[in-house]
Amino acid sequence: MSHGYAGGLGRRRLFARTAPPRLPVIESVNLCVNQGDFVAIVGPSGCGKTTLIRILAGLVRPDSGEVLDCRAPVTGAHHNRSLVFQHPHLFPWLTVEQNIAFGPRHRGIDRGDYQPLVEELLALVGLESFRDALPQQLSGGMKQRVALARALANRPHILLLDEPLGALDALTRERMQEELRTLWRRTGCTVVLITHSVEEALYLANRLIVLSARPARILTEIAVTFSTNGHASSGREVKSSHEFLTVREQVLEHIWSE
Amino acid sequence: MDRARYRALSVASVLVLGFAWWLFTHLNLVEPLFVPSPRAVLESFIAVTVRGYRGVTLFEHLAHSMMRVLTGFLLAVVTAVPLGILMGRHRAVRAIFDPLIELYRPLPPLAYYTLLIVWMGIEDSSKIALLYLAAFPPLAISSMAAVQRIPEHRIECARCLGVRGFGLLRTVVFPSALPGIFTGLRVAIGFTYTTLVSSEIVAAVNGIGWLVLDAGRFLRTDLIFVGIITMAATGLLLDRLIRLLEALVVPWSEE
Repeated sequence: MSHGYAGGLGRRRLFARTAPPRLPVIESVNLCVNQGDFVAIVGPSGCGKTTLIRILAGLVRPDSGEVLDCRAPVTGAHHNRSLVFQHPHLFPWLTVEQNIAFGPRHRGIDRGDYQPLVEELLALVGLESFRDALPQQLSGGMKQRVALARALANRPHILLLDEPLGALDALTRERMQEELRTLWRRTGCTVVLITHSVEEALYLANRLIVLSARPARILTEIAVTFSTNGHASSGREVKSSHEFLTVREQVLEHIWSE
Repeated sequence: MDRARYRALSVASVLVLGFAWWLFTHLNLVEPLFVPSPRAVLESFIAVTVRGYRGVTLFEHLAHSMMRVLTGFLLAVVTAVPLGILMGRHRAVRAIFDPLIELYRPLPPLAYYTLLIVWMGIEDSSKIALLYLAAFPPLAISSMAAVQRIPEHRIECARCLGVRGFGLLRTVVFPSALPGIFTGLRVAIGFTYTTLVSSEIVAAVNGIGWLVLDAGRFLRTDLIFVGIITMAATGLLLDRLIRLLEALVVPWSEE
């Protein structure tokens, strides 16, 4: 895709607590996401991953610390940071095409300026023939593809994915992993992915962050190469390779040894 | 059970009732003064439609009643629905208006109708005010509930896509609440119509309710039957109209 997704995301000593009784959720997270990164964040269930990504999106304010988006502090939700949830949450009264065009259209951008991108995204997620369908006519995987396209239609600095494949069946999930990979390679967009699947994280990301149990802090960061050098081989080959399995064991060891 | 069978049974049920009515009167089981025969009611219907009752035809009475219902109802829709939406989104708005609505909602509208008559007389204005007040709580409360049921993630999605403030209300909150708002419209129109008829029976100089009241004074049971059947048909029609509108405006189903 010819459109650039400029920007990176910095984050400084982030703290957050839940609503009363106020438990500390995030203790200290210090991370810098560079343009074009695909950062996957894994950690034990309930460790504050979702709180973390909601803070990045600007939906939750941290109790202390700050998030910088291209050096500007994040103060609220913004179309520069698109969040995709576990469930697609499409607008059921809009067609696939209208759902994708929702962001730019309601930000007052001329149709002529955003329509080419909408067409491109429709093609990218393979839903051109479903452009006039309503969400209720789509399968779970298709809905999530629309949600991804809708998030990208704003040309965000960063795409925040909160377990976007978590609610899909195993087969659809594998296919969607391939699509996410393609999406990232073609658009060059910056991605932060929350997942509880270490395998998914290793397969998709170029950086893997392992979080501790709550309150979350970064246990370790691993540079991953499976996403970038596995062009030729199929997903299953990569995931069953000796190298992949070794790294996966190491990561799991980190999580369990906590 | 398939649709055709269901429909056939429903039609049969109504026909059996009609037949029982006919048989009952045909065998002279009861004084015609108490239960007039279907034929007498039909003749009375034609007479009141063509020549009118005391100079005013049935449809003129119906037109008066409909004008009152629709004016009161539409005024309530354009005020109660937006207020309900705001109450659903903002706790402060809810804190202010919820107690006011809850305070008078349990009252039978006729209870404060006397007060409205004292203030505004027995003409249309007091009735429209009454119908407005009757329609308001179900509309406001169902709109508020519809807004509160919107999944929070859908709102957050919209915010991440760059809409906020009034744009968020217009593009996401309102359409999301529409199915629930329509439920409220149907409840409210039924309640408003019932209230109208009671108010016309209490005090009026025309209207379908007044027709029934006046016929009762002169023991014209045939005319009372005409009035009641007309009310039932009109009430059903109003409900159907809203359902039709709903099918046109809300063609989607929730995920």
